[in-house]
Amino acid sequence: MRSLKEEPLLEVRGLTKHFDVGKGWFNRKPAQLKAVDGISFKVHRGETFGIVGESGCGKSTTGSLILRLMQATAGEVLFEGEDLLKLNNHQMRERRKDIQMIFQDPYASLNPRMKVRDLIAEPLLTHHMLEGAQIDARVAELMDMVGLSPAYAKRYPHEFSGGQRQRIGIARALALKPKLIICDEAVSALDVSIQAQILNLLSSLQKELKLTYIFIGHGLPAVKHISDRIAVMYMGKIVEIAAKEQLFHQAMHPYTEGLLASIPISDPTQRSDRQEFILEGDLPSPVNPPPGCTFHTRCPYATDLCKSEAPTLQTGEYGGHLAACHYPRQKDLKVAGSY
Amino acid sequence: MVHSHTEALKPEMSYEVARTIHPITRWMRLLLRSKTGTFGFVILVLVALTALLSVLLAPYDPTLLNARNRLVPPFWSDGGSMAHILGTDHLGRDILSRIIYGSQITLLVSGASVIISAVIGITLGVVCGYYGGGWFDAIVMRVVDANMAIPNILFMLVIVGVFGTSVPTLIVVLGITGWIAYTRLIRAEVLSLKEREFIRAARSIGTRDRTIMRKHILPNLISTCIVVSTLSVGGNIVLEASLSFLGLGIQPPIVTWGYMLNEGRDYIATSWWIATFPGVAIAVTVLGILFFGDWLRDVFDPKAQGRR
Amino acid sequence: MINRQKVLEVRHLQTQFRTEHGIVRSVDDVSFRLDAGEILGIVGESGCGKSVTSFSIMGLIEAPGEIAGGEIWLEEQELTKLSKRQLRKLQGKDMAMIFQEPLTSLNPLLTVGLQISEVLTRHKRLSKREVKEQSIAMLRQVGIPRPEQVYHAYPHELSGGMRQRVMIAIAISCGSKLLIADEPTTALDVTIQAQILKLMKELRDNLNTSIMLITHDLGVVAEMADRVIVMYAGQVVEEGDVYEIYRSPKHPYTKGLMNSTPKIEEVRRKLESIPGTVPVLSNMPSGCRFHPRCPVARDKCRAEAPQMKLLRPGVQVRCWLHQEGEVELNEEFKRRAAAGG
Repeated sequence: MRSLKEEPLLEVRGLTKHFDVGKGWFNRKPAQLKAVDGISFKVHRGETFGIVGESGCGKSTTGSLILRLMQATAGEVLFEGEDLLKLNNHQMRERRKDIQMIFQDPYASLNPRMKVRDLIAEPLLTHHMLEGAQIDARVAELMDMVGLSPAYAKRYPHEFSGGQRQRIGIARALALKPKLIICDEAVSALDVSIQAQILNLLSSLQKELKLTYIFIGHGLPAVKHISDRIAVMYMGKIVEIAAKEQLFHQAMHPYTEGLLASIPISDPTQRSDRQEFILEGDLPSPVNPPPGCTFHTRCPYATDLCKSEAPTLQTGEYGGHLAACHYPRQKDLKVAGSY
Repeated sequence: MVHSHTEALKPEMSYEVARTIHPITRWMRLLLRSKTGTFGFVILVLVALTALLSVLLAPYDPTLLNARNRLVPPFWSDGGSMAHILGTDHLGRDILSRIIYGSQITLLVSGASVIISAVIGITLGVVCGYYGGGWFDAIVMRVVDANMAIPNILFMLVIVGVFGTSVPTLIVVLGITGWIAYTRLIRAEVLSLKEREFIRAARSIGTRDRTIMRKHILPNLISTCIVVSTLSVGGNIVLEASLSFLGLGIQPPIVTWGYMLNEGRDYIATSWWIATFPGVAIAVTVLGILFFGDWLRDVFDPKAQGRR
Repeated sequence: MINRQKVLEVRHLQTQFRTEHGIVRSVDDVSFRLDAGEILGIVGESGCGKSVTSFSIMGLIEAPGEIAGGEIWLEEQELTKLSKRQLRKLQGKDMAMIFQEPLTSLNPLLTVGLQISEVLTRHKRLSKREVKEQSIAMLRQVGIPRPEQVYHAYPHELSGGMRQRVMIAIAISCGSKLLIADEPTTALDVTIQAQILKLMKELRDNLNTSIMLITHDLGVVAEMADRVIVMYAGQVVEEGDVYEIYRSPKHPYTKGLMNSTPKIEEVRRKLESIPGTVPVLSNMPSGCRFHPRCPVARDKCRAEAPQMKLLRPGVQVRCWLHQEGEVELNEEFKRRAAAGG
């Protein structure tokens, strides 16, 4: 495996984003929505770091915070050792060349009034990377790289299907030769057969261009397919981080366990021997999260300790496998009758 | 549900190399396909030509008084004659000639004032919307609110009262009172537009705010701008008429349609033609502008390009 | 399992839309049947016609769309012959539908209670008190905690999962035998999806409701369905028992669809994907509609459209490969690869 001394490409420390909600003339003290609540993780060069979680868990906000599309409330985002959150606007603009993003909705993320050529050339022009004929050559090269015929350069996005639009989005992200690409639900809106094409494309581009990905998604099979390590988020916090095989076979956090159990099976013959572990209830209100461990309201193993004290992300029995739980991998607690 | 429909009914994606059509060819095709667009375009061209060639087209001097020929009805009525096709007014002036000359100032005033309000209104609307919630936005929005509370006409009266009546004053007055409509609509639209993902995408590659506003926001506002502008042109023709009525519009001997309309009002019961013909001219022109605006929106909509 | 009662039968349904590109046939010759207490999965990608099929059954196709041919039998009634008024009597009572986005299919200005009561009062003669009691009972039946409070809540006050439960409560409130669920869990999170799927299974087990489950997610089908229909470009390309379809798909499209789905228990670096994109309905390929994307297409597939071929009772496929009897698809793929290389 990787040596721990190697400097990570990206290190996030205590990243936090609070939104003021219900601010008005009458409520002096606005309530706070803790969208991202002090998360930390490292991403190494060449790996794909997956972030999974249900809607509202803060995974997309995390992506926006790293790229500074949103202002973080607290924390550090160290990219090659440099804190992005401390850069001024000019320095940040320079840094954006190295970090790019692929968005979820291929219908909404492309300006409908721009031609494909202009869409792909936009990052090059913004950063004055190339000029004149070089731009057209680079656009053609990028289109070819993502599997689009350069002959379509003069078309508008609405003339393409969802999968083809997502390819345009990828070409845009690649234009500046970034080191890190944040894929924010990049395949969630696509049809199954197209999703596979895009996942394969992302994998082969990663190999070819030595890219590092942060792959944010809610579809566990897709995230698992592409990621090397995965963080599971719940209510703005990372509840578990592990290499993907460990996460899927030896989940330590009960939420991860529930999440895995709720993935629909891929073969009807598994119906009978499938363990029933359906998480009951809904996500609690993020404005008024439960005290202690935020998951205790849905956790079948919760004890009084969980209701009063929030667990921190701790190392379990496996190297690099972390879980924020008071009772990691102690499934027999339920049998012992303490819940 | 709806999604799958739109997916199914999307224009076909053919796999040959993209055809390149010259923009003007494309515009003409789009124009000819739309009946109302063609109608609007023809009307506008006719009115513009009338304005430009007034001297050649008008049979009489529009200010020529003729006491003997007062209140002559149009030629098809009893007592009318081909000498004055649309009749004469209470001072014996030829109505057709006055309408022809009137088109000049009417078009100039309404057109120029709309351009002024559009420039002010769109700029403020985009900036306010993009930096929504900031101090600048707050100030402009309070001005807009205040403006809603004071009738425009009152405001105009004050300005015209101070600076006197002249064509430039009128243009400026109509221009600086008209931006409110733009700002309110554009700001609302920008507020929703800036949440769209492609704006986030542009920011993620490090595009400057100015560039985002120019390249990503403005082009997506074209339909709104065209709708507001076409409505404003019509509105300004009418406003100019109201000011004339109050004696604060353009003063004779300059002729405008609005002024004619007001003059004819006193005679509407006995000599209907004095007010009717300038009224028809206003109505047809405004209609032409509206139709033309509709077509213009199609021209700027890339989705209309694939249709044949 | 024995002596099953037929609830719904669709025969050669054709639904088309008038567009600026001419007439577009979204559903072309679709036939299937659904028995009492059965869950039928209808799988396909966007634009394959699965939603239009369900709208046609529910009588929700409006101009510029129309049902151009075929029959829809709901028990003893032929629906395409009914007037709008007669249909309205059936909608909500004998057949009910739930949609993908429960927030937009509930009226935001009315309380949950009012919206359930509306259906009950329309189809049943009940007193005001009975309506309220029954509404609350329905909410309880679909697993909503504190139904008396939820009765007075507005849709926006509920979570996505709760709203979908409310939609289901409305759908089953008049004892409908047929429930059409159009992507009922696509907008929901996985843990909530699992809850809703479990609820739908319970409905089937307890009330013997027939469910037509429309989805793009093969996992959901594997989890839920008894029988499966695979649709592609407006047509049914394969029909069969769920175990059979997953064990040995007959149509190359079905196989492609399965191979392109990432599976949680597999470690693969590369997914097999289906090349190309779904054809646009206004511009259908000649012959078999799948041939431009099919790895085993032959000249015949390009020239002539295959018909549905009954391989054995309950197993049908629309593919030239199986015309002279069933072919093992994996073998065929290997043979073709060998011949090509």
